[in-house]
Amino acid sequence: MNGCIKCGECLTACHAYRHLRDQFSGPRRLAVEYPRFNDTSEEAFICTTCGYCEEVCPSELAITQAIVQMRGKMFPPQNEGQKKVLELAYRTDHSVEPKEYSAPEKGKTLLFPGCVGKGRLAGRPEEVIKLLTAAGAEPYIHPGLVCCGSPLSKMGAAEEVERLKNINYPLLSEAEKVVTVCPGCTTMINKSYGIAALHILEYLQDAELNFIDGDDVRVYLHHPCHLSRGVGPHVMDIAKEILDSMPGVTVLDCGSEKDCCGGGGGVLAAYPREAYATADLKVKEAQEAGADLIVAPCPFCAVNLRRPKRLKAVEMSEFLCSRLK
Amino acid sequence: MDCDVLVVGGGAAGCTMSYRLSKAGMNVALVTSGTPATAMSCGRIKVTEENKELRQFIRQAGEKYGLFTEEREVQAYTNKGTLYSQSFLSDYDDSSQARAAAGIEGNKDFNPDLAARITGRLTPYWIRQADLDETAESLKEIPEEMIIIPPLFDIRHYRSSMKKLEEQSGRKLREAVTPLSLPGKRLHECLIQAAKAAGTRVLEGRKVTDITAQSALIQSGIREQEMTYGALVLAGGNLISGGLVLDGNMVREPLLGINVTEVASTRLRSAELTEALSSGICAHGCRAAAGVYACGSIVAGMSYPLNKGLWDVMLNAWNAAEKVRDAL
Repeated sequence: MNGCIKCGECLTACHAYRHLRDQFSGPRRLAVEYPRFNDTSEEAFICTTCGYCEEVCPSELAITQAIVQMRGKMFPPQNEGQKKVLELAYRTDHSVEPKEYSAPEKGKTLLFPGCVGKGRLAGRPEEVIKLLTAAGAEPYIHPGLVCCGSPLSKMGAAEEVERLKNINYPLLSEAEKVVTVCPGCTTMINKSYGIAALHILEYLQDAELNFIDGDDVRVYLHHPCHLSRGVGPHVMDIAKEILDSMPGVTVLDCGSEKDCCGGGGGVLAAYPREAYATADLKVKEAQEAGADLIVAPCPFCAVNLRRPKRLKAVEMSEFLCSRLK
Repeated sequence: MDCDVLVVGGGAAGCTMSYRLSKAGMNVALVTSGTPATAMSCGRIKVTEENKELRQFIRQAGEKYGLFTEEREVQAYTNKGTLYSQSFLSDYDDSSQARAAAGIEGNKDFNPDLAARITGRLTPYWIRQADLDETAESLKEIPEEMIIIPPLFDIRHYRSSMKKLEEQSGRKLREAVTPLSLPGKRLHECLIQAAKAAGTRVLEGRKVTDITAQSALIQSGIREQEMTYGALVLAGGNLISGGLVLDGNMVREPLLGINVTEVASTRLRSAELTEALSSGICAHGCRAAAGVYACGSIVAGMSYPLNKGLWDVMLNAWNAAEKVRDAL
């Protein structure tokens, strides 16, 4: 962190610093100044790990990683929301209460359904399976899969992450291909497990999907932080291309698409009110730009963006599925 | 081939280069990541050597957003109260007639006390950080007709919000010339948009990590993609923006490993480092190696320690674009 030139770009980029200045003193303080004195702060839990600070940092410092490391030092978290998520993980091996779903248990392409999908909140397994099938895959979900560990790693729960990884690892490594819906899972499986996994949009890039002539809809395409900055901005190019190819769909260009929804990195659990406020600002922007619908290629963002109830927000694979021929 | 020209660096030089080549009908890809020095600048441009086409490009790039709507050489107050010359004016840029300066508590871009002390002509005021309506109310209480404020709005909200703030407060507002603030970001954004509109494929948030003959490895998040090109343009800027790196005691261009200057001192305030900053890579007539071109402050003699500003950098890129086009 000695490469910090104190330019303050991270502060300008940080949505938490902008909107919650009373509570959050910003990425530079947390990632550069606190570690210098081996200090910690509860503020670390207000960061959504959106990574915008890292993107703009001229010194390319690993700011998010430093903040997550600080959380590790403070483990276990003291806030009620994350305590609940941890208890849930100990009890069910998932970060969201899993529900029943139906999907083939054998096939060629393993769909890693993710906790939000299994909890049937967004990116539901049945619809994603249908989409993958339409794209020519033979998808299946192994019933033994559990949480990838990504949300827990953001809380600093290193041991619990290892436990979950050991359950998933053999099931993932025996698969021919692994596809995920949630960008958090994509990054986790690639980087932490060392197993190649594609985000569903990357998988669909060369697929020939046939869409119905649906109703005209003006879409606000949300850029999920962990997809566009984590997995990579190329995925958003694919998302735009697919939406542009759909009859009746107009993708708006509002300029605020890259702003964080406010819910990631454990913030929805730890600071639900703050997560709501950030989402509300974003949805307002979409509304003012004349959008009919928010499409988010991340189940977690879709959940947070629909909380303000101003506009309908759907997970992208569900939207694609709803317009399949 | 994936593109005719691959431009590395999306600051003023890279955007100008991409715009001109795209306008000439070439297939251009622009790779950009991080914050270019252009976005950290004060976003004002002063013409040093005439070029009508470049003037027109800047006017057109800003027009849509209410930037650079007027061409007139004017001095404006900086955040420190000194004067700064500029040739392209946006509606809220000419602060030479202002008699009041309002700082906003918690906003470090502009300190009115400092500006007042240095100019002796401005009356300083402090107002609370608040939403637009409340800020307008606070400004209304200031008796002077024209007030300098820190930049508050990004490119999307600049024109509409400044207009609203003026209407509601009944005051004429001017923005201080501030580096590391919003005007630089607005300039950067409008140049990127101009390159896009001209047909450049802008690959944002991506980095060129390696170069082989006729192809580049581009990192996008956790993936890497190969891209083939006809020509490569290095427009990554000098040391601060990452076009050049300080590697041991050597200033080096990180992609091709071109050594620039040896630095005997590791101290930041050393004559050696200043020299390294001002040197850059040698690009004879903008050609640095076979099929490799350079423009902007990465080029020797084009950097800020030599008092080269945005206009010089853009003019260099504008002229270099012609040479790249002719060579292909």
